[in-house]
Amino acid sequence: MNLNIYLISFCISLAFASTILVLIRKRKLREQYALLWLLMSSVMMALSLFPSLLDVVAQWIHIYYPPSLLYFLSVVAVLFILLHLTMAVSALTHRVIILTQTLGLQEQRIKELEAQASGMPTQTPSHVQMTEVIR
Amino acid sequence: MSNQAEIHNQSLKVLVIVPAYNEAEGIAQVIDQLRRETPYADVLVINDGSSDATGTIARAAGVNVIDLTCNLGIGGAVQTGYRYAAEHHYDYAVQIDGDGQHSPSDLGRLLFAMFDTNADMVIGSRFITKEGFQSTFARKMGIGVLSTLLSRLTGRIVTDPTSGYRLCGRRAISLFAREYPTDYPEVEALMLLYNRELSFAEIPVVMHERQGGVSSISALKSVYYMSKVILSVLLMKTMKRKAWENRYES
Repeated sequence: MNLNIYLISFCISLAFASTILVLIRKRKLREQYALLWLLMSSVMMALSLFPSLLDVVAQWIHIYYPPSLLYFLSVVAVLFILLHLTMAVSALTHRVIILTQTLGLQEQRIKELEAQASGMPTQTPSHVQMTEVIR
Repeated sequence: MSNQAEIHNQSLKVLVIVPAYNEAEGIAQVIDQLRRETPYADVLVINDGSSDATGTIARAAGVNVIDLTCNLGIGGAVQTGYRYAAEHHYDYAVQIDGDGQHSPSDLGRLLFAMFDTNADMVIGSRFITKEGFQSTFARKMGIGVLSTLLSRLTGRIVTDPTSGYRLCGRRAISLFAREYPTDYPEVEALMLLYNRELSFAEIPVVMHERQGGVSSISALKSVYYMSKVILSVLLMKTMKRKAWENRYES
């Protein structure tokens, strides 16, 4: 019966992986972000199938209590994914800024053209002779 | 002074960029003042997603207005102006705040300084002659730290790195249209110029106390402001200097 917890954790990781695959299929998750999650779930699966892996690795790097390696690895993984998300948000912000600016510029242009078409006076670009500035 | 004779014969296009966020109280007065003092310049108000009537009032005053659908912050708003200036081939673009802190009558002297020094950007500094509104003590301390830092890093004396009153020539316009810091951009913009091997100069101007609205920098935000600006300026210093090639098609 002591295999039970490993079975449960394998089932959980399997469910996790398939959820991600379903989400990709429904286009609710973009592949670029999903790959990281899939990688994580496959590591989870490997560890629950071969729990002795953890002991071997822990022994290599002189960790006396193997489960703490598990915590360490999961914290690192979560941090990594968080960083990845922050990067994604930054990239999105940059795009939103450029798009908002472009939208504003285009709207202004449309208004200008509409005003021209309806024969209304528009602010004509004025030119400056430098002598005007020097007063 | 030799180039001044040539400049006299050219007709030059000047754009005044007025970023405004919820400045409904003061914007009409600023536009009016610009009309009177700088009739040779086109005025472009960037309405940065205001929730009040800033855009409507500015449009009623008869100037071009760009409405941004979301609030981008001062950097994003001003960059919109530079993009407009680049698209419409302006020779000069000057940034004047929408709250009445900057007096348009100084613009002539900024333009003059630009011809004299041949700099890519001219900054109006309130700390050269120390006239006019001098800001609060805490803020002056912060500005002092930043100006020392900037002067050290760029090897040029910068007295007022946070001044938003700046006039850009074509090269600086094309650079800022492409890349410009988003929030609290003034100090970083100077570092950007330095990294792209563009030049800047300062001349004294007189600034006033704001007429309405609230400064974008509250007491609580100032800690964030200082750390953010210092960090990004130092990081920008670590980047390799690379001359900006002018992609400004004319």
